[in-house]
Amino acid sequence: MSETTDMITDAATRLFSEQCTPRVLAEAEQGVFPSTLWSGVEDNGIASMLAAEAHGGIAASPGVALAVMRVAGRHAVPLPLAETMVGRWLLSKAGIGAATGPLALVVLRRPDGWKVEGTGTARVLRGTEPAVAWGKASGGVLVVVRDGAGIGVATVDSQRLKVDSRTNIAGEPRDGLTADGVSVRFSPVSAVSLEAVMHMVSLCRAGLICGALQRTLELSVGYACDRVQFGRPLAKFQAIQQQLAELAGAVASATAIANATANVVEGEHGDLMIAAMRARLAGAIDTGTAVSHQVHGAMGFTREYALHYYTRRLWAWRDEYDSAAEWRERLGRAFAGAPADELWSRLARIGVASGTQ
Amino acid sequence: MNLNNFTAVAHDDERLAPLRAEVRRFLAEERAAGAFTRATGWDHWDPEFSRKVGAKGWIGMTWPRRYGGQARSSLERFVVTEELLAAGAPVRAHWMADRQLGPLLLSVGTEQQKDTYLPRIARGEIFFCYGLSEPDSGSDLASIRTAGTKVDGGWAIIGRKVWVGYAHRAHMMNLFARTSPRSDEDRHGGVTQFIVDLKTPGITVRPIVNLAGEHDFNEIVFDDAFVPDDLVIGTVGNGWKQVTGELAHERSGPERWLNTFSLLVHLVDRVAQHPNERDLEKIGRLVSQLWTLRQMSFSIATLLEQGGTPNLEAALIKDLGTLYDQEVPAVARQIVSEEVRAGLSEEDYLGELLDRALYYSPSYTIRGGTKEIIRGVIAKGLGLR
Repeated sequence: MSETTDMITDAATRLFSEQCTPRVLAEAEQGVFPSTLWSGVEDNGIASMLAAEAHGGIAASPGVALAVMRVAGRHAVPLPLAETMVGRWLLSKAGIGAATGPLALVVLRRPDGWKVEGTGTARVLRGTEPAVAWGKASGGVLVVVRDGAGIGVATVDSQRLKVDSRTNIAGEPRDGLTADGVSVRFSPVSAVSLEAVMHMVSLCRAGLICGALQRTLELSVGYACDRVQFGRPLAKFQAIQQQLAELAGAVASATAIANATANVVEGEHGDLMIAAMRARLAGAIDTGTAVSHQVHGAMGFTREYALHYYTRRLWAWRDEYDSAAEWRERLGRAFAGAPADELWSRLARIGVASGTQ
Repeated sequence: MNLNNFTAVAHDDERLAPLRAEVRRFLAEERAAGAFTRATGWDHWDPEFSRKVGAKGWIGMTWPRRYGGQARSSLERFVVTEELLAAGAPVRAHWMADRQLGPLLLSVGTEQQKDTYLPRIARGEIFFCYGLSEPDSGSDLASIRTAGTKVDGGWAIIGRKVWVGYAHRAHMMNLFARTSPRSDEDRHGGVTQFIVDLKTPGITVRPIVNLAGEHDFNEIVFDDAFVPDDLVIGTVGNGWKQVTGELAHERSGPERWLNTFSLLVHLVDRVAQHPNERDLEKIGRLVSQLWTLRQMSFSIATLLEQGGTPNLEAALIKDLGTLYDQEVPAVARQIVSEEVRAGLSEEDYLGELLDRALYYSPSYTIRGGTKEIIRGVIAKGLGLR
């Protein structure tokens, strides 16, 4: 288990540190899809790692996925990694293999957006989804929808959709996709709930967030040690040390809750732990972005210096796949809905791993 | 700069689960019998309750059996501690000896000291306080001036200590005193730890009433008080090293993030009765922080069990935990307005808990190392100093 983790995280570290150059990051924001980097992701088994072996994966545990995504976040990998990994995991659970190539993921959970009309395996897709991650660049868009007591999935070729190319504040593609009565092949999935898909993608994003936070800390510490003002490095000023300590706390707390959540995400109380994780990550992002920019001064405010690749992503990711506020409210509601005297026993119980280790 | 040491997942194995259940049964019975309420709080001095905890084998439980301990693990102690604290059980009387003095004596104490004190501590019969700060020495602990002068058969102590918690109730003190002059080359050398019987002639204990109007800490004056040689802890002049060795235990435990737990329970109850999105979100935010801190603390207990000295991680927990404990009353006041507070019934502990948490909140980021000192420790761990 830990050998698998080491092998795949080592491969990811080599790949991303070699290929996620400032130039690749800058070009990605200009709309250039990094095809060579994507090939590396496929060749190293990263994109399929959560899928079963029968579907080209290694059935990696959520903890291993988290570790690999942390590496990706540390390098600001400009690819739909979380979406493809979770999409292939879901298709594998459905007993369907996935084609190679990046996947976009649309989890239908609101009354607006796409509608999947009809019954049986032949369905029709209609409506507009306003912000699909790598909607255009991905060959396939995987739609997840509630269906009776379970869920169903359908993959639609993005070329059959009307595309309104847009980006989030990090310059990552978030395309508007309009389906004007597109017929799709629908497959029911019994093994996974819609919430479970949201949890798994939140966990993969958490890895990206922890990696990006770690990088803001490394950049900030490095800058504080190099930059000299008033005759000494910034790192020697207590005012700077105190802020970097606060940043370290944010990174450590984000990492701790993400590690714990990975272990229970597929268990009985995974929903509450995910909500707690999303809430804490948001707090860590607020602290991490504010402190790293403050320590960097004007330098961090430029396009030339790399800090913004991480901080802009963190700002965006904080509120994607439901906002931090929604997750906080969900968690508050879950705890306020039970007798207050049980608050402690619930907290202490939910940490318990439920056979997913 | 590896901050990924928080990897262990809080998890009750076959050892921990029955222990946790046993502690809960004990606490339920004690609460039913009126020994304490949710409003009591763990920082309450109750010798009778401490003796009951001792009789259960939950004081000094990690110590060897031959010294009155139970030879149990750090994780088992973590479970017992967090259960006691979360219930608001009054464990303050045996707290300092259980957490710090016992482990210190086990690591550097003499056989005679271990035989004399550890079994009585574990039975909840003898209670310790800690004499560290002085009128002119707070965060700068190495600058203490209370002095021990070598005399025949022991040491003569002259000086003053302040903010000594429960010195008026404790039997003994772990005293930190200077035994040779401070030098610029070795700022931290020349200090020694002593076990001091507080009934020793020449010791005066005076109350210092705190902001809440309560008497928990004291000023202690030492006017030529005699301490025999056999009550020196460890090595003369090595006190600084010894005291900093205790820090990972001192800073990473659940007492750094469970001070306001009873208030949170009553606050959740209040919001459940008057639910709205805004307040539910606030509860979610607090619960997420508490949950994270528990995971971090559990991780560190695991590292301590494996023999590590995770001082950076412990400092991170204290920083985050104490700030969280300050946030709880601040958030509570956004939910419970002054008018609502005034209208709460006497039986509703929410009001009392809110007042106390607010009164005590400034102390959380001061005691056990100020926020600034703690962040200095973290900065050192980051390689900045």
